[in-house]
Amino acid sequence: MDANKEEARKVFDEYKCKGVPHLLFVDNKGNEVDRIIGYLPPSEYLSRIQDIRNNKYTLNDYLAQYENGNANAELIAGIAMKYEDRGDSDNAKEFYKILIKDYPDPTSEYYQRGTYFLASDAFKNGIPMALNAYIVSFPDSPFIEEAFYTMAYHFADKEMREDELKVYAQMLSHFPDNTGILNSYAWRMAEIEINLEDALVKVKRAVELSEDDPNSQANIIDTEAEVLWKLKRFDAAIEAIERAIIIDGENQYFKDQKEKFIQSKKETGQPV
Amino acid sequence: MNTHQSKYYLLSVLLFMGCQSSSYNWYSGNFEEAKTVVGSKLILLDFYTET
Repeated sequence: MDANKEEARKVFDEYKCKGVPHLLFVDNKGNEVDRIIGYLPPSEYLSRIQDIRNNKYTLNDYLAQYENGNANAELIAGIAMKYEDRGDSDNAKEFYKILIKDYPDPTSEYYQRGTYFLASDAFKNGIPMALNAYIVSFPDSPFIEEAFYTMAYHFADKEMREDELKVYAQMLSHFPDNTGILNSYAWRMAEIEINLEDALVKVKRAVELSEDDPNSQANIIDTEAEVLWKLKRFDAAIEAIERAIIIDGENQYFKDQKEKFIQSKKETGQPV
Repeated sequence: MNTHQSKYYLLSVLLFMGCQSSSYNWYSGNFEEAKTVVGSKLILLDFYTET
């Protein structure tokens, strides 16, 4: 069925899902068996489904192995990650703590994931320096970008504007050529209508850097157009979104954006 | 466009693994109804976004 958005949102929240695409496998009592989050190549996707059908590499499978005394870093991290996917922070925390205590290898991605999860959990539970301390302690961790986003979104949700802007400044300093971060910063500045000139500089840099990836570049050009629109530079905004439409002519959102910019220009009394 | 966050959620339900058939049909009822008819099969809930 194609359920309406209200029902989808209710079930999505009930199972503490985060992010789409999101495939959830449940039994007739509604108990979760497993889930697949994000895109996978077809062969890997089919393999995962076969495994779930055979109750292989599921949380229940991992817990059974653990209870049978087959503990190792991979298994414990696997259990923690399954709990994390389910939004069960308490159990995830318990197993990550076991992992860090019993397998203290800072070069291991499992260890880095565990320490990041604990820092993130502490940050969300009222220890503001927890993630900054993590970033300083593990500068080469693959979770640094995620740590910054966690802080930025948290401060955005709490409307702690000054803290949010500080995090974006740190992020941009840490990742000056990361197109995703440049784009996210510019879009967010357009949303809150702050630092628009700086946002324009940053998003133009992101457009330059994304030349080899046209689909991604089209989305970034859309951000550039949005920033220009917020700056009331309507002609420049229209010119920018037309560049995005040239790249992705089927994208209705881009066409709607163009209409929005044209309408704004009309409202100022300028000829279109 | 901020591609880091999604805004819309849609849901499709598939009754899964009832047999060894290689094709499955999307279920035409809602999730609660699916639970009452699924028996020993699994239900696959597919959340996706339209932007």
